[in-house]
Amino acid sequence: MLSRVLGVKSEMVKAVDDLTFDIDEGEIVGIVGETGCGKTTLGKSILLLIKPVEGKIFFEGENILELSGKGIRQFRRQVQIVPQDPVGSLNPRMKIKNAIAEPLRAYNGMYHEKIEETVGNLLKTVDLSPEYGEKYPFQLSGGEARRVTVARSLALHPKLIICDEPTSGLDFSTSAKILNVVKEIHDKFNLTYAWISHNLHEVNYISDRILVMYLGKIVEIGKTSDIFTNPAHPYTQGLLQAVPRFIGRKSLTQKKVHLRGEVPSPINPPPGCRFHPRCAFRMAKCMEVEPMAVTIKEGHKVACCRVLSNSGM
Amino acid sequence: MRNVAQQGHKEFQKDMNGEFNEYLQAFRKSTKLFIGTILVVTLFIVVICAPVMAPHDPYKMDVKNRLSNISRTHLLGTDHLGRDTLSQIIYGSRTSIFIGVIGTSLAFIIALSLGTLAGYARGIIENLILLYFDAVRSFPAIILILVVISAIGSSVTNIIIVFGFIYSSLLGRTIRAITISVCKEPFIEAAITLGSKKRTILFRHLFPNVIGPSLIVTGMYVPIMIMSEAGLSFLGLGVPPPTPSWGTSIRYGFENIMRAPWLILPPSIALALTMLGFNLFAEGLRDVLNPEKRGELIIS
Amino acid sequence: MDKDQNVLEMREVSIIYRVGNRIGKAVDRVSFEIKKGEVLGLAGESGCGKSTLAWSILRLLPGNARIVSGDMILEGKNLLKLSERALNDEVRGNKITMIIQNTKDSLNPVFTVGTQMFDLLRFHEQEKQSLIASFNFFRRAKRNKERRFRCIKMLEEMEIAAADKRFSEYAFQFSGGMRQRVIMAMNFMANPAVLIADEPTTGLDVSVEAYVLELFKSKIRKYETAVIYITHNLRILSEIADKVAIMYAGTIVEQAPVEELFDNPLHPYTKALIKCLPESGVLGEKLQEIPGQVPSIFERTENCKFQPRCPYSTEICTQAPPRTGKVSSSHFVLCHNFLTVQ
Repeated sequence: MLSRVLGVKSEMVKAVDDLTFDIDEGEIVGIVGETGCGKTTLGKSILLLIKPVEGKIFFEGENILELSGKGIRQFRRQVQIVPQDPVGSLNPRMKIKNAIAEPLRAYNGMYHEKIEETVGNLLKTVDLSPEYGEKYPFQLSGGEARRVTVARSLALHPKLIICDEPTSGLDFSTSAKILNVVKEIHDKFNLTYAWISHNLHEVNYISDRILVMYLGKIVEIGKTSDIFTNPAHPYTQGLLQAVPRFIGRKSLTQKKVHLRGEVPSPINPPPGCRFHPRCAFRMAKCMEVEPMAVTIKEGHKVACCRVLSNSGM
Repeated sequence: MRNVAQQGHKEFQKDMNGEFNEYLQAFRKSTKLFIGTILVVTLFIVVICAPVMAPHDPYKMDVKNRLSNISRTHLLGTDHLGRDTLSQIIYGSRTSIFIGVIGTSLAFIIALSLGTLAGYARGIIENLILLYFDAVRSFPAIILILVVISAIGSSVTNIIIVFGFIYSSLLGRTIRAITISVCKEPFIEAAITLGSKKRTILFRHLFPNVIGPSLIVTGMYVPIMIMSEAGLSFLGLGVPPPTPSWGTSIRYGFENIMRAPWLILPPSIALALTMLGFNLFAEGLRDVLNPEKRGELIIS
Repeated sequence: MDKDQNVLEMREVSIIYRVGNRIGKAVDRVSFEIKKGEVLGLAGESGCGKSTLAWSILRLLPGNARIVSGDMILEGKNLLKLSERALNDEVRGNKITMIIQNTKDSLNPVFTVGTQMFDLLRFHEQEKQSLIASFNFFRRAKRNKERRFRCIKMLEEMEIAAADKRFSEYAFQFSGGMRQRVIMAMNFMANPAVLIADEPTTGLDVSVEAYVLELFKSKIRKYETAVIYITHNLRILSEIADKVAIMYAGTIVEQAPVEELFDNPLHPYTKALIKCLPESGVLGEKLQEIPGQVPSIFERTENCKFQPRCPYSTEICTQAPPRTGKVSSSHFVLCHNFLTVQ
């Protein structure tokens, strides 16, 4: 197990509540959800940018929440981020080559020529010519800046990369390019990705497994193909139905479930099953009891009272 | 020339010459910037070439000819001690610029160090620094300046030190705000995830991005200090005579208004033009540097 | 207005931007028409000029932009011939309204939502009165009551619960989707002839987006408003548009009814765009990319702007500007080779 997140809770606003899941080596896990579901908070907790109030996060067997100083530094080498805002996450006064070289300098104390060479290689990996190293962030387009942040995240050969909304704000053709580049790198270096996104088509294309989050809880988790062909949780069904579909193509799911209302604020989540106010199938039990995860199929789990009762447990 | 500039566009991101042409065009069209630059440049020429420009020694007294009218030898007349007014104005510019620039530099150094520290460190250190800033700021500046100057005596050095410390409090607060907003930028967070040490973040990421906006704000204080010095000297607590200063000249003119009413005009006009020049220059520069406004200027 | 007449016609409109010393052509000879109740989807990636075009209709371009040629005909009158004052009083917020991209900035945070809706009615329905009549408080009170009622009715129509309470609340008390619906309410309340919607659903969650789009569709049908829907998201256009115009680098490269466009795209750019979508990708294989970049507004020539990236370009593409080919009465393509391209 590469990473196992056990029961992570965040402060004050329960951004992430009692989350438990695993990420295996080499896979791409898509984390899907709408605003307020806590996916960004989850990503930041794994990176140790936010400290969870409760719980454990195991990385290669070690609980990273108990690390300090040197341990954290070593950990940071292994887990990197492709941030949501590519241009903002590059220092506007630093040339691209220095931005990419920064992690190299922080850890390895490499000397000049080696750094130039490494940076050149990294740029080539993301399909940018080496002259981009001399440019400044404001001279890059959105897609190019995104690729630079991908290159930067690879500098230390990390094992796990958290991609936070990697194609947000990009046009379709640029998104396609980013997806291709990321997939290529994944296959070449055998990396593991946590792909946080709200774009379901993209997640369908690129991830092996999917995690669906709602108001801080995981509502469904399973292989991509399973979830898209047979979504078990009403929220997943409604989400797939709501995604605008391309003309002539079938909608992502056959089930006709419409989501009513809006996502409530995470400050005061509804009691019992968090989704029950919007759920078309709710029962009396849903308002009282928080559902536990049930395995429907190998690797496919749902947290829903109805499924719970249907499976006769 | 138009066509050459248009051909230059092809490599516009690397070709600085192409960009230079458009700045020149905007510069010529912006009345504000044009007038402002002329005034400021004139001021600096006067400051630098004072010994060459001034017809007389500003310290030389010629009591027999005191309060004389405009004449060929004394183009703007003489003051109550017979010193040439024109030379006094010319040398007075040196005092103003000296105090303005050095005072602002001192304020900047203090404000930058304390402000960035407060914005980056936060916690107790920040609270202590803010306490200092607010304590200084809560006194009306004039009163504080008067009290301190009366205590330690007035001289150019003392004035610079006092101005530096007092104005650094407001500037420091602004710089702290700039630091905090830079700290919130995503690239600082990215630097943390990349494993950069705290020292690296402070010097490579924070400082370069804080200094830029800070300098722009600091520039505003030069005319403020020039004005304050003139005010102090007018009250008699500023630069001690016989050092020429616009403030003291205005004062002498004021005292002798019955006998030589024109004496008030030259230093007042010099002061007004200087302030106007700095303000127009700052505003005009801001317009020309903004690409959209630049286009507007050229197209109109 | 006759059902068949065009509500809005754009004929060969060109817009330039001046940045410093350089002139860039942001929009180059764009033409389209919309009828009553029709939804025209204006699709294109960033830098294609669709937002510029939208703002130009209301003549709200920044100071360094100029409309250099063309006509904009609204219900028979040429908008470009109107004075600024006439444009402001009669057209903006009245005949033509706009939903801007960023909802958060569209509502004034210091006034209640109700006040803003109310003001809209006040500005656009002023009657001329004599001085004495204006002192008639009873009449004014009655009029205000009517207006308030209309505003609340509109909010209810947009499915905002407890509309009369919501009327007195501030923008920050509304969620994103609700704010968007309030803006829509304000737009439809003016009952415009043309509604320009610039990416109205960006930033909204998927489920909220679906809901808002449904509502939008029903209101368009009810009020028979002509709509220009600007987005880069082809999927949304599949659901909401009647006809689609694809823009690239300032020109409309293809225009057709929505089903025909996606079933039978003829322009190489349209084809490439459709192939880029993850849905079009085969699992396990790379997605189709479009090599190269959109030319900056300073680098555009008279000839086909897509040519450097086009896999089907031939010699004529670099020598002569493409002419609009008419595939059918409603399907137009701007390409030399569209007949031969497979």
